[in-house]
Amino acid sequence: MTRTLVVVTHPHPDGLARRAFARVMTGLEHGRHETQVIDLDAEDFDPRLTTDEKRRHLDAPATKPWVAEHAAALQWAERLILVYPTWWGGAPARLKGWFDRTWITGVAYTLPEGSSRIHAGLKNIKHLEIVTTHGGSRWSNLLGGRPGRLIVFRTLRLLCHPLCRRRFRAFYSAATASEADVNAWLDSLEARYRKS
Amino acid sequence: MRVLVVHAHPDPDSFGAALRDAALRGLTTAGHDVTLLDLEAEDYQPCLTVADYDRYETSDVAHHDPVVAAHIAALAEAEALVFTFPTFWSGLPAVLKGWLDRTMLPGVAFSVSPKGRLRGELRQVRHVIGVTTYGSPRSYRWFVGDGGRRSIRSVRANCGLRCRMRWLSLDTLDGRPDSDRRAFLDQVEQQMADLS
Repeated sequence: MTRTLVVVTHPHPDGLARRAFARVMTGLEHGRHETQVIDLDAEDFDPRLTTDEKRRHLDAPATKPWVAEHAAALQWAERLILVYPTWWGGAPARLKGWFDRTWITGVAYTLPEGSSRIHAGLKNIKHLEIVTTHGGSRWSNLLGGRPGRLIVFRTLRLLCHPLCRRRFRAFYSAATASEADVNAWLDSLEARYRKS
Repeated sequence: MRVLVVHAHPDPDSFGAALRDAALRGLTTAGHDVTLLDLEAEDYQPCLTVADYDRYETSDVAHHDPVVAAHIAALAEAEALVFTFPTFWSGLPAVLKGWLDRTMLPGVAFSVSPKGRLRGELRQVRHVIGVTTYGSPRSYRWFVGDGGRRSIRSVRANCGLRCRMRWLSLDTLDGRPDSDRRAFLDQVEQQMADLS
């Protein structure tokens, strides 16, 4: 049983990332997984740090009750799947803010007294996967430097298991793609998650 | 020159706020016409709504949200863009990421040809300047990259060919003596005063 946490964001029920999410879930149902889902839009997750949260960002998570549920899910997961549309090279504000507010000290890392180096806190996560859709082409996204992918696969990965594996499952040129192209990608996505 | 300063920091008494003020001092001294968008002070909501998404490609109609409409108007007039923000997890804070998501719309910041080619629409912008602080040391960024800088560079990519990008940053923020911070404030003020 792989403990799988799926975190999804897209504001619209018809958004392509929502359709991708549905197919990922269908695929996962066929495998031996124990699955939890955090739907940031359904929860109306507020991605903004408050003034108090920023000032106390090094305080223990026990003093921040709002983080408890998502922190428990993160610490439970062996596999984290992020499903989102790529906007301006990266995750929408809602997901970026989820990183900022949930991947906090005592959950995602520890900072020993007097050190400026953080220590990984989510060594339970051995698989980090992105399922994302791009309006623009693969080339324009490569030229843009893919900051969103960098943040997840480099910065956040350092907080996971040292041998944590990465998977990037992306659809490009959604703005000009035909329905057949979209469906072909969604089918292959579901097939991958059936096997995984 | 008309300068738009976009500031995002959850703490109004932070070093980040001092950086914003230093930038404003420099710009005012040089006689520029400055507009400040203090996103946290405005209680800015950074997540795309269902309505935002539904009208995403209808740039010929005025934006339904008066806050976004005002930001679009300020962006359309700006000849220089200054972003002041703290770096969270190698990227923009969610509030600023969401400002890009909601304001940099097709027909405002870029346009898409029928074949899917992107074209920048911020051709009047001559300077894009990022002012940020990092908690981490410089060596960390060699290793994980700088997603925030890449995001701001993607703004620059939609400006005119002769637009220049400047990056003013201070790393290892918490491990520095006050003299370093004062020197950085002076540097930011000076750079803004020299803008032409």
